[in-house]
Order: sequence, then structure tokens, then C-alpha cells
Amino acid sequence: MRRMFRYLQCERPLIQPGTMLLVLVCGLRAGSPGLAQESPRLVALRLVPPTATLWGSGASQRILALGEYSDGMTRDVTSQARISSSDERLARLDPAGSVTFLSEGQVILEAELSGQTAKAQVELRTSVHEEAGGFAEEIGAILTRRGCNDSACHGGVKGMGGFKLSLNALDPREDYRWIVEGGRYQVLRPEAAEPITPRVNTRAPEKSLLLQKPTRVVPHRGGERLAVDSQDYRTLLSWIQKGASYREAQGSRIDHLEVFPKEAVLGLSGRHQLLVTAHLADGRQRDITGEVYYQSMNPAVALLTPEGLVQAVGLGETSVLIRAVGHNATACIGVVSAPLPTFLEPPRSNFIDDHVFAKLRKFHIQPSAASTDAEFLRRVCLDLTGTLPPLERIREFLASQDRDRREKLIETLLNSPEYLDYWTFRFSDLFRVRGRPTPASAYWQWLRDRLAAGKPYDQIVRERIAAQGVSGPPTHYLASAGKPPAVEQIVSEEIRVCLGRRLDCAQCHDHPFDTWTQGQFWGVAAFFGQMTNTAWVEDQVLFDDPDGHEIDLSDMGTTALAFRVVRHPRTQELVEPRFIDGQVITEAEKRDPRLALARMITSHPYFAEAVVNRVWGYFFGRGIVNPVDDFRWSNPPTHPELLAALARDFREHGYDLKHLVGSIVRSTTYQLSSTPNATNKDDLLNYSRSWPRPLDAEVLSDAISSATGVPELFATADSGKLPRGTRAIQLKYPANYESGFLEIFGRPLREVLPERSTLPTQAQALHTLVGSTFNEKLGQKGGRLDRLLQRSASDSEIIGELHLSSLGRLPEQEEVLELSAMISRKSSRREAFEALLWALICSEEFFHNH
Amino acid sequence: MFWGGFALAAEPQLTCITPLGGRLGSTFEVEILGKHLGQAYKLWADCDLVKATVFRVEKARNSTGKPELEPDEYRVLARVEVSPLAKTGPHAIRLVTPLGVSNPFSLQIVAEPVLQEQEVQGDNTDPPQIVSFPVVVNGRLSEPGELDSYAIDVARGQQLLFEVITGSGIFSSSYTQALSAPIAPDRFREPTLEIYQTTGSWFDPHRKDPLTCQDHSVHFVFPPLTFSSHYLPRRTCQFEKSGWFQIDVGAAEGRSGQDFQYQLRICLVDPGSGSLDWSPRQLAHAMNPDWQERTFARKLAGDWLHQIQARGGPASELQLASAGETKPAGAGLSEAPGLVLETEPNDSASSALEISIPVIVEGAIASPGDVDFYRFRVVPGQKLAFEIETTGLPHPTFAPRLGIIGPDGKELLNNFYRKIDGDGDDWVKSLEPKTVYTFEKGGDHQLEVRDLTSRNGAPQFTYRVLIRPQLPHVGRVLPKIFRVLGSSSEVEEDRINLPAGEAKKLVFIAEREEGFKGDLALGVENLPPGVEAYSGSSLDSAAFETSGEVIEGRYESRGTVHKERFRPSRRLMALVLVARPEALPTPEPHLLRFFVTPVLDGKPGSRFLAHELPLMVLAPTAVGSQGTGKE
Repeated sequence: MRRMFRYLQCERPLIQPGTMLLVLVCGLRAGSPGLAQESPRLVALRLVPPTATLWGSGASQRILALGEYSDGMTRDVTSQARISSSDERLARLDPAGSVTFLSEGQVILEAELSGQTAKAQVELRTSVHEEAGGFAEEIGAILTRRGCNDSACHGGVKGMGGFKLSLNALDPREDYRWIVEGGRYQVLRPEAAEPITPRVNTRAPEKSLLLQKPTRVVPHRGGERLAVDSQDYRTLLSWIQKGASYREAQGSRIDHLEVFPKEAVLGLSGRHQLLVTAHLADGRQRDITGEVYYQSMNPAVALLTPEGLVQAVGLGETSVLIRAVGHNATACIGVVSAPLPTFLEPPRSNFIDDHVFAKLRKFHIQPSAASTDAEFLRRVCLDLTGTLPPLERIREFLASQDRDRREKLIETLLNSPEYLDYWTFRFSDLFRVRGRPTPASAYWQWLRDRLAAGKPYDQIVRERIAAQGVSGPPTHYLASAGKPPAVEQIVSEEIRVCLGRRLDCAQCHDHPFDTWTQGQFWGVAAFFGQMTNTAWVEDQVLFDDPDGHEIDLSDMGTTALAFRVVRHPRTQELVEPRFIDGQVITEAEKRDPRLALARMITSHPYFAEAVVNRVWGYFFGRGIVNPVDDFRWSNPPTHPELLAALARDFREHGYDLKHLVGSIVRSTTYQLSSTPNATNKDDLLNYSRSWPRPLDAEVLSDAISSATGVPELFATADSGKLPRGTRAIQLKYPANYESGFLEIFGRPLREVLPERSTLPTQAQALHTLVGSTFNEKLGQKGGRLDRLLQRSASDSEIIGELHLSSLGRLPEQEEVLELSAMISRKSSRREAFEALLWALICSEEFFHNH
Repeated sequence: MFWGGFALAAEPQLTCITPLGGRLGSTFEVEILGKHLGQAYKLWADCDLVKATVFRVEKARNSTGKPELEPDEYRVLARVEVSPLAKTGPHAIRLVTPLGVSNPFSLQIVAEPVLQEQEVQGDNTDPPQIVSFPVVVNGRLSEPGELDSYAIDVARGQQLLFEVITGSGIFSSSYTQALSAPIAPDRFREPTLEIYQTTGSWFDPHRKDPLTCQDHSVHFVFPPLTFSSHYLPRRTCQFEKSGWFQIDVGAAEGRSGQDFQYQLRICLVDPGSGSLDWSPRQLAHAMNPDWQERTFARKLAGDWLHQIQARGGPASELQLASAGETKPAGAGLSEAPGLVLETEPNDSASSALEISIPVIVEGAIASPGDVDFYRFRVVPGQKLAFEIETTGLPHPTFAPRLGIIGPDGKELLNNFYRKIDGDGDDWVKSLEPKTVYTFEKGGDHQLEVRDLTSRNGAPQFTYRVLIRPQLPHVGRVLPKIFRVLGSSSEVEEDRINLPAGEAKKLVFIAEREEGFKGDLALGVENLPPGVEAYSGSSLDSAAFETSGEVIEGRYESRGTVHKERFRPSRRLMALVLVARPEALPTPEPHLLRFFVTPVLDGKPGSRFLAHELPLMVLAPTAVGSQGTGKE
């Protein structure tokens, strides 16, 4: 992180000399991180799984031998270890480490490597369950692990080449229909288009398209997916030969998948076999490692073989997606250059640190040192209140010797009115407070009152979703058009805001990248189907009525009166309210369906994790799932246990936002410095240091006003003006107040769910050079600099105050000397200081929260 | 295209008055701005207990001292004297000039002490003005972003009421502007009100924070059927501690203007204190003698039925029938309505309270989701009217939904009126205070009363429902101006300035309620010498959908649902006022009183006052170009 002063024409690192010395000293005492080490020793060996049960002839289980080494790494040594079975008549052990059932009994497997041994016990039992795979388990499984039903191929929105399959064979009946009946898939219509040609040929099975295409007997854009001599080909052929019938599976279904390891750290040339276990509904388990589809989300970091062997490619971290029929799972793979021989554990403050540091330790990433007081003060003030700390408070805090000064500061800020200002602003964005002045003000006030009262967040959300009446949250539904929007426009936003999921695509078709179906989307939409309102202006009342809302004449084409109904767009069937988990409403609830929906949403497990993830994102620049409202199986959390712990803690504390925020800022993780070390300079995902985050437009505007001592004046298009001193974060409905600065720096107008870009733009750069905000306030009469000059402050005093007011820290001695010298060389002292102030407020250090 | 007379180019037009009012029993000066006010010589009030003297008339200047661009913009200063015996509340005042009488403006007379805003810098750096309550402060926001601040010293435990009214949204003077520019930017329609305490903070030791108060702010649309919505902030605060508190009055989005006058009232919350109720029904309608039967605010108890009956025709038809005498269904009231007070539980059909018609039911939607049921019996062909009043809270804070459920358990009717409105392609529905219906079948029926939402409900959500036989009567009779702006629109006439030798046609819309089929005799009294009134020719109804029927609302003609249940039929009546050439100019307006006498089968009923309009006769040369109408 560098500061750049245009005036000084020099670059300076942010890291302070004292901090660097501390790291070196710690390194010398404990063993410097990153120094060359001797070859690691194997200190322990274990077999995974330590116990297993095989049911019936042919059942098999892959066994892994894992070695714990002196460098802290765990390595897959299956291929190096010597593994033997206690009775080869009962189970066959192959060189890859897979044990297969031969006869009933029990065997003990023993592994040995470099003097270390390990054992595993395998029970062999005759299955009492009639096991017969159904269409999904046999055919669907092949289509899944061969990638046929991937979203990039036949599992995509339109299918491929007219042939449509469901993602992960989630809808086997539909898959069967398209295979056996044939026809071309149409996105918006349920019927098949011509030509209707079955993709199986029971009279000449080998000539079935289902076999010819993946084996490239006929041209296939997807390439060769099956070898003619493969087991999967033989399975498909056999099925067609037997009549290509549809049958349900006999026996227990898969309840969920488990991947081992969920997290693995490899060296640059490392390899690690994954184990995939299917947990069946009857409690049994089955190894399906070789029956699933593997995909690396970042092939530059790691690749996988079809059998699930991970191979490290480059440094970094990636997710591995595993797809089976109707189920999926993920694993996290990290690749490091050299393991840390010693992990310097920072002091723990709360459960957040436990999870973060656990992963850092595992991934051999050393967290940065704690932030300095100046760093922390500026950061926490901006994060909790959107406000730079005042000069006197900075001096007071930096001079304090109170060991609890940080905790006391946090407590003060959490209970400050500025905290309320800022978080009302934050949630006004999320809740899209907008519209005409009076209703927008009432909506804003409603939100602020609830935050001020510490109302549990789930209750706030319930009130918003189920809003009825005249003012306050009903404005959300009426602001744009004076009547409720179409239900499909509401669903996507409510699910994103409340549950962190993006159902948007499922409006028109089953979701291409996730398991959401069109039916689920419209089932939620139906909850909003009765929403309507009276009248036309401020006396309108939003309510729910069995008739629903009238259809516009422009949509009807006539003056006939008709009401909106919710129909499935493909089947045109009327849709009854049904939540994403299948919950339906009772007869009594039909009078007020949105109230029922609000209850379902806020009591669903997704709700708490979506909230904590979003709030986490405010403090760290990215969510544990990122983007913060894009939870999907193919976008797994970087710290699943941390996410679960935060969600649980949030629920247990009554959805108390202040408690959540307080937990985050009290953690050591949050209070780490932004200064990187050798191991974490490229770490974007694991919170090993504070990553600088650009200030939001409103916060930046207020910061410039604070640093220059010149407030911004906000005017409306029709000559209205807000009182002097109104801050940007206090604008209740931003679209009414024109501001070139705020537009350029990415202020959302809340017509859609706001998304702020953190990428700098050319317009922003130009604005710093010539824009009024950056230039006209510098020497304005009555501003900070003017007041300092008016009272004849010394150079060092002015330099100090300008640094404190903008960067929240005192200048270094070197900076003071250099700046004083440069100022003395300038003919106009005022202009020199204006230039310094400009350089400060244009610096990266000022622009970012770090 | 048709239009009648409306504000002529040279007629005096008031645009604002400062201050908005004064105290009972006091004398104070007012400044009035407007057009064509040169030579204004009298301030004419609506009652003899408010007297005023004009003492200066000059060209208006803006704050920089330069003359306004409009050559006909004037500033009139007058001294107003209010008798201690005058009624508190809004009083209509008008200016009188050789060009005639102006449109009305409201002068708000209050009982509390009145103070004037003291402004020094005008840039929000002035310290708050210290006031003691009870008080009404007259102020103005003349600069963009201006906030007027006041400070009060409060004792612990006191509960105070704070409210703000502005000068707009009171009279139809805003009509003309509203039609031409539905959102008139210079009308002060959205004042802001905040009560602050100085709490200080870690960041700012001088920081003020708003006090959490009970919000009783009201919204209303005035004039009706326009986009001109108004907001009156009103708060009550219970002070948990003693000390100084600050009140800021501003305008939404920091708007300002010469006509951004306001009155801030601060008083103790005390139902018995006699403080003026500033609710919009009082503001908008207190001055208006016009008949109002379609508002949730009208009082259904007391002599309401007598008022309706008085407008119905010959007394013989509406006499109370003697006992045992049979009368055709719906022909009149045979008995006074009984009063039924709601008793819980009555929140289901099976626990409905028995009532018999005619009846007044008083109840409350006491909790969110509360529904009240009442059972009543009708005979086939019975014609009934269902009227509802919100007695505790104004509409739409309380939006009462009525439903009538038939013997089969299905809803027969409700008080939703759907019509095409908005920008012409939307079905818009409104809750109606009055619904009429003819029951084809008899039997037991249920009345269901609830709030539109499932969220509202508390002891103060009180209502009064009157169920009575339909009583054919005359509704509103008002003089209207019709202007076609892409669709039909109406504006009320608010004065007549008639040069000698000319004539003016007034077109009255007469509403015929609940099947009134008689004739109306329209008469006028208090004509000045030289002015006569004659019945006028019928209007060209090309602007309207069906002959003889005037369609209310801008797009209603495109479609309505069950309009007959919610809207009266309407007829037009024309009256022509002719000023003889020899008629002398009147030094001040004559308040014309228009009376209507319903006539049934040749028999006249009681006449009633339908409307009042001031009229001045002008000298023939006093007006530039005029026209009494084009067809």
C-alpha cells in the first residue's frame, strides 16, 4: 500500500518501521516464517475412513493413507504406503487402495510407511436390502458424471442441440421424456418441437442417439464422453436392450453427500485423492468416489481426474464441485509454496478468530500483526459510523494508555447517534428507500426508528415483506409506479435481500446454475398475488385482497375489468403460494399470504446466514460467500463453519444487529493490520489482514467535507436545498438530490437493488483533478485550512492537523521535514497548503478504509 | 370545446398572505401578494367580527429590492382586527379592487398567543427563537434550505402537541393552478417538523437528535381528484426529562418561496383545552357551506338524517309514518335509527350482533385483524344506504371496509368503487363512505366491518355506521367551470365580477342522490341593484359521455364498476346573471345566496342554501377583455 503525493512526487510505503521490527523480532525468536527448512518427517499415519461397512457382493470402499508431517502438512501417501488386509478371502484390496467385498466377515487393514503404522476396520455384510437402481440412479448418474447434464451443455437453459436434461438429473422424469420420446426442447413452452425423434432405438440399440453421440459415432459438439468399451456405455446399452423403461429405485435413497477432505492444502507438486461418500436415508453409507462428476473452479490452482484425484497446478485456493444425481458437494483446495514451520497465533478475542485462524493455520498463511491505534481508530469509525474521527478524539485515543481503550471506543461508537445515521443509510440502500419526499421520508423514518429501538432484524424484515397501510414500508411496493409491481419483479429482490439467493433466472426456466426450479420461483411469486392498493396519491392504502390487483388497460387491450393472477408461464396453470422448501399456507393464512411468507422467510436457515454474510461483507469488502447475495452450491463459502457459527450466534442473540456488528469489530481478525507479510500479500479470501476498501461515495463525500471543513450543499432540481451541514449519508432519498460527485463515485439511486462497484474509473480520476468537490473546498473561507491560516498556525501545526483530519494519523517526522521544506520554497504559503490538502484527499490512503 | 367563466385575466388574484393568521381579540397587520391588486381598497372577510383596513398598496418587490418581472404583481398591507367574539378557525378573506373581488384566502384565527418568526440571518445560523407554549408561531421559509428553529423549555412529564399548517390546500384557489400544473412547485404542500434534543455525541458535543414522538401526521388530497397531495406534520411528545428542546420547521427538499408561510402550533395535549383541531377536514371544509356526504369525516349522529330529509322534497313524503301504516319499501324513515354499541365477541358470522334497520352502530376495530359482524334482516326490494364515519382517526389512517354478506354466505357488495383513472389506463379503486343498494332477495344478511389492512387496529380505530332506507334527496349543488384538458375537468367558481351591461352564466351541477327524481328550483338572493338572474340554456354536452350526465373524474367515463352504488346522478342547471347597463358598481361584494327547492310532483319541499358566491358589479370600463363564455 503506497501513498502518492502529487505535490511531493514521492512514494512511501504504509508500513511503519516499528511494526516491521516487531515482525522480525518475533520471527527470530520463534523461527522466521518462510526460511528454508529441512525435509519434513512423517510423524503419524492414519487410514481414512478408520471404519467402514460394505454391504453385499461388489460393494467397495476406497481407502486413503494420510501422513502427518513435521512441517504441519497432511499428505496423501496412499500410493507410497504398504497396505495389507488381514484376510484376503473376505475382501480384495487393489493397488489404488480400494477394498471390495468378497464374503461376509470383518477384515483389518494395516498400512505402514517410514516406520509409522495405521489400521482400519472393514465390516463385510450381506445386504438385506433389495438394491436396484432406478432410472435416475443408473442412467441419470451416468449423464451426471459424464457432464452431459452440466449447465454448459444439455443441462443449460436451452439444452444443447434441442436435447434438454435437468441439472444433476434433478428431474429424472423429464429427462426420461426427452430421451425416450424425443423432440426439440422449447424454453417457454412445455410441448416439444419437431422433429420428434426418440433418442433411444430399442430395435437397434447400438444405433440409439444416446449412444452414438457421446461416442462420436455421429458428430457431437460435446466431444467424446463415452468410450464404447466403458462400463457406462455397457450400462446404457443394456438399459436400452431391456426396453428403456422408467423405474424408481428400490432401496434407500441418497440423503446427502460427504466429501473428504473438505479442505486440503497441497504443496506445489502435491496430489490428494478425494473420497465421496453417499449417506443413505436408512443410515448406511456408500463410497461413490468413482461415480460422480468433478470440476475445479480454478484450473490454474488445481485439476482433477474423473476419479477424483486432485493435482496441484499453481499457488492459490479453489473450490472443487462434486455432482451426483440430485446432490452436490464441494471441497476447498489450497496450494502453498512452502509450509509455515511455525504459526504465530494472534491473541483470540472471540469465536470468529477461532474459525479464521484455524483455516489460516491449515493453509499456512501467517496473519498480519494487529493494527496500530491510528489504523484501528479510523477504520472502526468509518465502519461503524461512516464518519472520520474528530481531531481531539484522535489525539485523545492515541495518547490513551487505557488497556481497554479499543473496547470502550467500540462501545461508544455502537451507541452513538452517528452509528444510527450510518446504518440507517446502509439499510436504506438495501431496502431501497426512495420515491416522493413525504412517503420516502416516512419509510426512512420507519427504518431508523426500528434500528434505534434495537428491534430484532427478523421482525424488521417481516414488517417490510408484509407491509400494509399508508406510510412506512408500504412505500417500498408503491414508490415506483403508485401500484404494486408485477409479482415476478418482487420475488427476485426479496429472495436476494432476505435469503441471499438469486432466483432471477428461474423466472423463465429452471435455474441453469443451481437447483432452483421455475415452479419454486412462481410458488413464491404467488404470495404477492393478492397485493393491491386504493387510490392514487398519498392517501393510498396497500393491502392484500383475494381479488388481487386490477390489470392495466394497456395490458388488457380493452376497458374490461380483470385481475392479475399468478400463472406458471410455461404450463399456464394457476400457482398457489408455496415457499422454496415446499411449505404451503393454510386456509386462514390465505387472507394475508405475505404475512405467512414473512414468517417462512425469517425462520428459514438461509435467512440468518444471508444477513450475517452481508454484514460481514460490509466490514471485509467481501462476504464469506461472495457476492454476498449469491449463495449457490457452485459458489461455496470460504469458511463454512464460520458462516454457520455467525448465523447461529445471530439467531441465539435474537437477530440483534448491534450484537452482530459488535462481535465482528471486537474480533482480532477485524483488528489485523492492512500491512501484508510474505505469506499473505496475495491472500484475498482468508482475512489474514485487512484489505483496503474504497470508501462508498457518500462516505467519501462526507470525509472530504470533514477534512476540508467545508460542508457539501445538496440541492434539488427545482431549487430546493437541504440545510447546510446535511451529510451525504443523511440523504433519505438520494435520487432527488443532484450531485455530480456522488454519481461519478457510484452512488446507487435505488431504482433497483443497489450494487456498488469498487473499481476506479477514469471519470473519478478526472474529477480529482478538476472536480469542484476536490478543488473548490481547499481554501474556502471558513474552511479548515482558512481557519488555520487566519490564526497564524505554524507549518508543523497545519501539516499535523491536515494529516489528522484526513488520514487519522500524525505525519511521520520525515514527512514533516520534507513538507516543511517544500512549503517554504513556494511563493504562496496558502497555495502550498492547498496543494498539500489536495494531495491528502486524493491519496489512496484517504480514499480507502484500511 | 366548452368552458364557462373562470378566472379572467385581469381579475384580482391573491397568491399568498403573511402571516397566515392571528389571535382572537387582537389586531395585526398582514401582507398580501397577488396580481391585479392595484388600487385594492378593502379587505373583505366572511364575518363582521373580522374587520380589516387596507393601508398600503404598492408594486411587489423581491428581497433584492428590484421590481418583479410581472408588471401586475402587487403587495397590499392591511390591518386586521379580530373581535374576541369571532370564531376560531379559518376565515375567508378577499381583497376588493376596482377590478372586482379576489379569490378567497384563509386567515387562521387562533385562541393561543401568536408570535412572529424572528429571522436575522436567514441562513440557519440564527440561534433558535425562544417561545413559550401554548403558542402559534407565524413563519415563512423564503430561502432554499431554510430551517426555522424554535426553543422551548419543557418540564418533565409534560405532553405536548406540535403541528404545522401551511397556506395551501385550503381553498379552491389552488384549483386553477392545480389543473394547469397538477404539481405546482410553489405551493407549500410538504412542510417538515422535527423536535430535537441536544444530546451531544463523541463526534460532536453540540449534536442534536430528533426526539421519538407519536406521529399523527395526516395526508390529504385537495382539491379532490388532483395530484395535489398535502401533508400536515403533527406530533405528540411525552417529555421524560426537563430541559430545552428545539423545534425545526422546514420544507421537504428544502424548497422555499414567498408563499411558503406556515403556522406552528405548540400546546399541551389536553382534550378539554379547547385547542383548535387543525385536521384537514376542518381546514378544507370549515369555510365551505357546501354539502358533504361523501367523506368519512361527516358526523352521522345528531341531526344528520334530518339534514338529508330536509333536502328530499315535500315534507309530506317524508313524514314519519304513524304506527302501523305501511309504506313502500325505501320510501322514507318510519322511525328514528336506534343506536347499537358494539360488544365483543362479534368477530364471526356466528357471533354477529343483531341489529334492526334503521340503525347507527358504533364500534371499534380494536386490534389488528379485528372484524366486526352485525346481522340484519331485509325484505325483497328493500333499498338501503350504508354510511360509515371514522370517529377516532382520519382516513386513510383508518381505512374502513364494509362488506355485506348474503344469506348464502357470499359477499354481496362492499364499499370499493372501481373506476378508470390515473393516467387513463389504470383501474383505480377507492373506499367509499357511502354505498347504496337494492336487495333483490330478502333474508338475514351480515354487515362486516374491518380495516383494509390486517395490521391496523387499536381502541382509537372507532367507527360509526348508519344503515337506513334510501332517502331520495338533493346532494351537492355547486357552480362549476368545465375545462377540457384532454378529458373533462371541473373547477368551482369562487367569485363573480360582473361589469355592468354584461352577463355571466353559471352552470350548476346538481347531484341527485338515492334516486331523487324530482325537479330543482334554483334561486338566488341578495342580488345587488341592477342585477337579475334568469335560467340559462342547457349546455352542449358533447364533452360528456351520456346526454345530460356529467361524468366526475378525468377518465371515469371509460369505465366504472357499480357506479350507481357510489355516485349520484347529476344534472346541469344554468343560471344567467345579467347586470343592466345602468347598474352601479358595488363598492364591496354582495354575497349571493343560491337556494335550491326540490319539487316533487308539483309540490315544493323545503328550500336549502346550496352555495354562496360573492358578486361585484364593475364599471363597464374597468375590465380589459372579458367573455362570459364560449360554446
